[in-house]
Amino acid sequence: MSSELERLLREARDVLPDPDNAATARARETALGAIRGRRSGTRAVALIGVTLVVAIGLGVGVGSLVAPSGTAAREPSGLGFVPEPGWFSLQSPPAAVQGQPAVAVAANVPFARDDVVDGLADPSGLPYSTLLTLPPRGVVIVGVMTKVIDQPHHAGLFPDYDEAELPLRLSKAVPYVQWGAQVRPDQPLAHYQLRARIGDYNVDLTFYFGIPAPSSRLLAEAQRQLDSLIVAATKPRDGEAVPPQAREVTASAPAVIDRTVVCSTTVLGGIYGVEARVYSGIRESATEWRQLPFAAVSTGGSAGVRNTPELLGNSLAWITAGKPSSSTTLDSGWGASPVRSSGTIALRTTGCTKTTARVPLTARGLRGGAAGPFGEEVDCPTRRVLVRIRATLESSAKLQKASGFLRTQVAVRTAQLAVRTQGGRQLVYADVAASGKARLFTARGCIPE
Amino acid sequence: MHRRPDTELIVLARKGSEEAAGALFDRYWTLAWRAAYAITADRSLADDAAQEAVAKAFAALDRFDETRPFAPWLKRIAINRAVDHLRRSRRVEVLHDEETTFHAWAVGEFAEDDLRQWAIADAVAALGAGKRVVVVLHYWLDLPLEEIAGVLGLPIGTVASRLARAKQELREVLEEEHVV
Repeated sequence: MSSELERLLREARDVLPDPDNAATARARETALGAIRGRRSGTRAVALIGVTLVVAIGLGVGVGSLVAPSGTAAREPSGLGFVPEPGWFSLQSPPAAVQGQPAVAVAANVPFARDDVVDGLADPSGLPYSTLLTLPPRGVVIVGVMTKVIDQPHHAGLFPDYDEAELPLRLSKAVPYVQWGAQVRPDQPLAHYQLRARIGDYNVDLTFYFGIPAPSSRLLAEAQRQLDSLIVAATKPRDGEAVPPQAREVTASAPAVIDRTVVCSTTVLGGIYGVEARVYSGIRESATEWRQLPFAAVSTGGSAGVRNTPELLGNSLAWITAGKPSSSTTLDSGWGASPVRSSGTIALRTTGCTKTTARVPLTARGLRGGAAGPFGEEVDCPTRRVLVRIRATLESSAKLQKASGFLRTQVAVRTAQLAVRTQGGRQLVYADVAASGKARLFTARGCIPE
Repeated sequence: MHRRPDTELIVLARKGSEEAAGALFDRYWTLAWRAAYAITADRSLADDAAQEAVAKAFAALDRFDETRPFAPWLKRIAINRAVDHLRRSRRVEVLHDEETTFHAWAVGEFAEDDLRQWAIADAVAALGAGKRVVVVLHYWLDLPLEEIAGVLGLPIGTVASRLARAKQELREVLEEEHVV
């Protein structure tokens, strides 16, 4: 008996997963770096050089850039990237010092652990470890936003940037390797800079590519993320007028809801698992939707379920995009449920608990593509899952508790949904857009219905 | 294609050959990462521990005796780094998931075997860190009890009793689930 148990125990090692590509790429670079010899001196010089370039260009001292952050934000910090599929983004913590620039970083590779401080961007604004291990297809965008200084003694010292409107164009960027400040001299990164004045803010964007001459595909990928740059003022200080242009940007600025829960699954056909369902939108007219693009993950299946509201009860989460009318439904079949009563996005609270574990919003390593109006459905066997939704809403909103779900009725611009196992294996990635498009990507072990 | 022996790759890597170092990395990275993951049961911790292990090993190639096998040496470094990371993460009470699981589920050709291994892995994961690490080091990473005692800084008697208690717990759980 004991030897049988020991044999089974030894065999169970086969369930160990493999490392993911991003971790492998980072480790490979680190290992090869160890072979190339220590570069710490060069690295330090490069870091100081780049920091100085950024600091001087923004008219602030190195001291304020690296100053420890506090909790009392006194300046607007509305700079951010809404991550495109396959991208990751970070923002700087609230400014501790008045005038301290806001920083936002986006990358199409996961950020190195050293570059993330409590889930926020390192206040220095330079994701140094990520850049050191950036693979050839990697792109990192660093954005810094500084309020324009009106005082006369600043005139001419730090000239304002040319006025521009969002979205900014990468084609306007200029090569930016000067001061000998190449971050990775032995494996040079392509390095571009784009500066623009948006409202009352100077915005300084630096683009890093993992190869010296980025391909047009890589440039297009960077542009795609640049299209999702948000520059928005937050609440003005007491007595401070909001500049007209900043106010305009604020009015159209989306709110982002990003939540992750961990949920148990239930048995269907003898197997624990989740079901993912994704539909593209169906228009009623040029201005109205009959069915919104929709993605949901549920457990317990749809057997015996009579209508969509019942089916939604089995859901762990769902997302939509687009503006619903009073008759727009989540699903054109069965006893379709009106979006306005069901909610545009929702997360189950019963049987699920909030978690801070990371679920990447990426389709990397999964198979799939665009979903049609009649939907794609897959079953993925698993015992417990982590479900993350991220939605960019038309206006600010809070999720409200109702009937075992957290939900909102506010219209959504774009939304993403990802599911992984507790062991870290990505199972599902889906996204929906206000254009009506929806996509579904699933792991190899998932079974199409 | 001719597979170059580790010894040759190590000698070339010492001379600065990135190609040889890359080949060595490709050959053993998964081994190091899986060892780290088996101990930490956390992808982020495993990423860091395994990355540090390969960097440390590659930086110390000059001191490595190439007449000895490379894999056990690297695995041992990965184990040490993983144990360090696990201790540190528990000290600051960072819990990445509510529960620990090991399996990367896939419906394979031998689904029944998969399910059994999955159940066993879940039972191991549920042991609690102290016993889980001893089981993983012994049955998955093939360390004898003396080495486990060295890695964890525990008396060998403590390791042996933890392993015995862990096996007893596993037996009860797996019998109840009709796995064994």
